[in-house]
Amino acid sequence: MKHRKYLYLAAAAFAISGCMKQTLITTPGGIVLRSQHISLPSHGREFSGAPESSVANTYCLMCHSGGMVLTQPPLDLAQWQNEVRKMIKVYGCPLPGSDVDQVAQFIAHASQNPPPLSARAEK
Amino acid sequence: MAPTRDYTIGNALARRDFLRMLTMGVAAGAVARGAIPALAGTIQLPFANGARRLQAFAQKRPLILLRTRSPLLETPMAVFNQGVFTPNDAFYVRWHLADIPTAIDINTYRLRVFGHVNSPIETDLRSLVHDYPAFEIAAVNQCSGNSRGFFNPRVPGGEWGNGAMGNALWTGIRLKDLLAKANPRAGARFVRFNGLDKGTQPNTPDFLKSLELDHAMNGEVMIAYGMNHQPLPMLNGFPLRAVVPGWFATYWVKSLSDIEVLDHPDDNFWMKGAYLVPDTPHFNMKPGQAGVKMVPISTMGPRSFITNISDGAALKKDRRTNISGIAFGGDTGLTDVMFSSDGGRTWRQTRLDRDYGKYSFRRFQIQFTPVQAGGAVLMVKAINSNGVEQPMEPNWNPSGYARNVVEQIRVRIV
Ligand code: HEC
Repeated sequence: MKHRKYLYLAAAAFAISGCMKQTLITTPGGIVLRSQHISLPSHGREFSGAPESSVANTYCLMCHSGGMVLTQPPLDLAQWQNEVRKMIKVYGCPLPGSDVDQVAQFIAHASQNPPPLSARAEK
Repeated sequence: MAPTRDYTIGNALARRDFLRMLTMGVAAGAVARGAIPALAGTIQLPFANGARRLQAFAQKRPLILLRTRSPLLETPMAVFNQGVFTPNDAFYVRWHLADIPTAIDINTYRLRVFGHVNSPIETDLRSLVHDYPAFEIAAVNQCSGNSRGFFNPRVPGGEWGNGAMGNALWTGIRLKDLLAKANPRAGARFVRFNGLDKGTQPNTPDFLKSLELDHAMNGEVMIAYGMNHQPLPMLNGFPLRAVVPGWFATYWVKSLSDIEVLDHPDDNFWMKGAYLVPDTPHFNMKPGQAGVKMVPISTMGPRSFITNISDGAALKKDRRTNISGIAFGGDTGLTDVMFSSDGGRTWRQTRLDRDYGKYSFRRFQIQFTPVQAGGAVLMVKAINSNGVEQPMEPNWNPSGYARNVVEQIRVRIV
């Protein structure tokens, strides 16, 4: 299992290095530009607890991770309803309008009771 | 040309000196007493729901994690005590949309200039760095929402402390030179930047930002391929980003791929529906105030921070202490940083260290000998060459932008 993971990693690294020729661009001031590739940490289903957490996990982690939500200040329910409606109207969140209230209610609570930092470890 | 002298560094600062300067500060910043505590795995920002992890991302040392995807990473204040330029691996990170570039092939990368121009351009990186004169400027890059977490009443958004800012020496080409080659047609009025970041959902508006053509042509607005004499980190917009000295970072579009010249004002969401501030001094209004004209955010105001002593530190009575920190003038140079040890009743002028140009951080120092035991409030206030000074009262606006109130720290004199 573990070996297979390393094989995939090696294959991916090879593919990347292969398709990006190792050319350099040296600027007049001596800065050397090389092709770059980074990987980013992933995050899981960051909402838990009440049954609404699964709706939040489905609809509120599509465009940003839970940090966007779980670091918000105490907001009242009306503010959270506005936020959720904004996600739908402005950014295209596909949450059905009929679910706005229960998601807002869940988030209002969840955002002020975030999981402990140790549990928010990123991989 | 004389006017450019005060902000260009050119050859005055050799690459080696510069790199040495970036690493040097660590020792200089080690103040025995009242020093800012060493970085641990977590940090508590001083506002509700301000608990944060420190997390290392690619090409970055551990920074204050606000959001994993797309990354929002804040620079710990201790970094600003270590030098006037913010090291690339400590520079804050701010993206909007979920799909950000993670791989760039420098052989195939293209920058396009098109729209209301006579000669559209599509250039690769090699030509871009060699076909146009190199230009360098030291400039502060500050998120519009830096310090949003301190707003009272609080507002939703990215809940930053004071570390969504950094100062770098930017190297690249003047936008003016590129635009001149594209030769804007009569009636051209705005220049719109687009980068490689994208939303993941079909209806998410792409992140686009515009400047007026005259501003874009002012000879300071540039396209940077270098940051502190190194390539930009991927998370700060490798290989190219817009640099708009004196203006908030929302205009400094990262992984810049498209420059579109428009013959009309830009009505895309990120210009007309977001990053709006009240059209008032210090972008200030009252919570709930009606009928306020809102306009796109623009220039920065002055700010200053004591960096060698943290809130709650103890200082010895009758012992001389050096107080130092960073300041900047915003959209123009810094004239003065004033210091108060009596909660703002009386002020003394601090000594300003080397000037790297009017858009740069500048360090200040002052000797302070506390004479009375008990609590004291230390303040610093930056004043810029337009005579604008940091306000004593914090500004407020609904999106939490452009905070620049006089900062204060409480110390105990023992
Ligand atoms: C279709 C994409 C999308 C979905 C789905 C989405 N958001 Fe957002 N959200 C965004 C974008 C884009 C931003 C602005 C991000 C930035 O500025 O970095 C944002 C920002 C936010 C903010 C910060 C405040 C603000 O208004 O900018 C909060 C809070 C938030 N979202 C909550 C939610 C919640 C709760 C849900 C689930 C109901 C959700 N989002 C679903 C796109 C989305």
